[in-house]
Amino acid sequence: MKTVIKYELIKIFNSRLASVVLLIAFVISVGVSGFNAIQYKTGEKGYYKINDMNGNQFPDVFVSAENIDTLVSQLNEFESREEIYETDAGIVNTYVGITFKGKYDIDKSALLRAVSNGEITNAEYHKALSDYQSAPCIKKEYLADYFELYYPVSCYSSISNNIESTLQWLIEDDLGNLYETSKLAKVIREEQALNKGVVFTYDYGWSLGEEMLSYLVPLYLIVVVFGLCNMFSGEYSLGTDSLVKSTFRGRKKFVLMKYSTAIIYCFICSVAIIVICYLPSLVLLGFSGYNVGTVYTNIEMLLLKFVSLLIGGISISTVVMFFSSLFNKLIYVLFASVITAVIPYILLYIPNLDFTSQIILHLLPFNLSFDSYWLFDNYISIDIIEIFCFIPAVVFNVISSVTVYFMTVKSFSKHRIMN
Amino acid sequence: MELKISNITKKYGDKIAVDNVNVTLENGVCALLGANGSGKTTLMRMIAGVLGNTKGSISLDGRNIEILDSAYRNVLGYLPQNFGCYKDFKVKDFLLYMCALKGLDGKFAKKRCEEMLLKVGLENVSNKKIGALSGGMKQRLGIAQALLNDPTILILDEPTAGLDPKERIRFRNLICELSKDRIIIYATHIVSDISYIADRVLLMKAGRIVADGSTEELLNIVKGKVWSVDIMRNELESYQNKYSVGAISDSKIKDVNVRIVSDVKPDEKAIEALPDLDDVYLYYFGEVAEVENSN
Repeated sequence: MKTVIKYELIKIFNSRLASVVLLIAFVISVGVSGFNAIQYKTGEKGYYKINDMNGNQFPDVFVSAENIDTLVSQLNEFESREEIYETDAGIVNTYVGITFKGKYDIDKSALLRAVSNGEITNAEYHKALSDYQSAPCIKKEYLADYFELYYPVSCYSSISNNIESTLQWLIEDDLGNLYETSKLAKVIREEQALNKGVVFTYDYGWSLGEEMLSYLVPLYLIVVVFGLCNMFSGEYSLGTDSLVKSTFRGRKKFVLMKYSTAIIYCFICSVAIIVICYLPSLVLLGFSGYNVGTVYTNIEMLLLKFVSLLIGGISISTVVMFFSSLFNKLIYVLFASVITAVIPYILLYIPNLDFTSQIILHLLPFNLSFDSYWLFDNYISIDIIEIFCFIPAVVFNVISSVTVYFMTVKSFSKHRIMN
Repeated sequence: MELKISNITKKYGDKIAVDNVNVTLENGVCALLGANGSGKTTLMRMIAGVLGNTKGSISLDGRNIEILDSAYRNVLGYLPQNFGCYKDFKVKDFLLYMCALKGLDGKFAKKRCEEMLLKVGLENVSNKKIGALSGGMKQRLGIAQALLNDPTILILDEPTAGLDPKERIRFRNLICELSKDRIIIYATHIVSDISYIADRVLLMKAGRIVADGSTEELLNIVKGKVWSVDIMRNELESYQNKYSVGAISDSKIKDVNVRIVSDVKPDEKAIEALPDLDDVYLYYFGEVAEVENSN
């Protein structure tokens, strides 16, 4: 079996179509990922110009219910110091883009209301906005210190506000369904995490890697589709199907070996895309990173992304292989696979879909590759370390894969030998 | 060993490709001779288990091959018509892959590959990509893969297609060597391929077996029905319209000498000729068999 799988993988990588798509995907993904990481590093992109921090590395800040009040008072004290603000508009633009809640924040909605009420004119409104652009910001030399206080306080208050409003909503709207139960469990865990304490740091290696991955998931799916579309139709067009059907292993085992190859191929592609997306960011921007939420660590988040990609890829591959066993012509396989994969993604945008339909759509091929299934409104992501949250996707995929496997065996067995 | 084909029928919609075939095959070379479209390949595919039948059954030593399943395929070697293979594979890799599909692994598989490459004379191209091989070499590779598992039932569908005369002779010798202790089913429309090696010949026409016997038995059928006559070239057309005309050659007496297969003597001057398998083919199919120069 190992030998067959080895040669099946060689067949995939020998295929001209797959090789071209793999090469293009590799160049694009390495280019995009590397270019973005360099842009962040040199300060061309992103909220913070890392170069402007004078090489300062933000220290990890531990925040908990115990020390939050101290941090808040330190922040207030810091913000009240006039000398930290830059007044020269010319200099400000070198590190603006920082629209965090600070002393000189502008309330745009209040301004708009003022315009609509006739309290100020349009010209005054635009002048206010223009003044805002050149409003004083934190001086370069104070920026690191400011962030050290501002960011943990800001995140902590955002999470605790969210907990408070969710609890309020759960009390008011006591339905007791799965969604609400999961939501409550998540809120309780977040509260516990905040009480125990959370470490915030400011490096963007992990988050940029994650961002890159979200952009490149469609490319991963293209690689899976183009790599596997020839699995059976290639045998038909080469006339080797009758040969393999007559061997000791037979049709069922041959299809099984093709499926095993597809799983290994998806695994290789998932690892490759993760490495391509994360490695440049982590190398250029550092390995330390702020906790993604109160529940996940970066490694857990990476694991979640990897599992999403793998299960989603396998889910797509079963569909592609089935179509490949149906059609001789590659173009039909590609068309049918893309349509089947993309339709659930499009359906997600239908307004007013009920919750159950949304969950089902998230479980379907293509959508599964994005982590939206687990992160979908936090409904199931109670704790990704707990195997529980993977069960619905794994069970759904195992059932659908086994069903599609038997359909593929039937289709491959019944396929008329052409040569 | 006995391979019994009972009432086998294969239909594609309304079209009957194989019509109620009943044959029992034993060790030796059994040639399946017929024109293109006569149903040979369909029958071979059903025997190889790669195509389901509409009616009937095939059994090996009394056991249905569908029940035997992998045990049947384990003793089977199959070379399909228009043998296709993976152009980007090296010759030895293709054989190793086929070994794995046939349930042979490790050192034994490597040894078998080397033996088979030697047997078909491809040992010097084992590291070449299949795409770079000539048509004849590819066909020999097909034969090598069929023999990997040392099959006791060997199914060869048009195995000499693309082989040059020298390779064809070599192949015939190989078949003779292999035929001692196994069933070899050899489908072809080239009479010269099977003249010397077939222990039994099945003539297939429109999905049916129309004649079955040893070469001698089939020759006996047309004995006294094969004639040789010298005619003028302008008479040739009328002879061709009236009789089944086989070989046409130069004549010392008149313009041409024609070989005719007919139940009645075609001409007063016609003399009876010794029949060969081409005449049998002509007798049943009313057309000239494809003749390949094997010398």
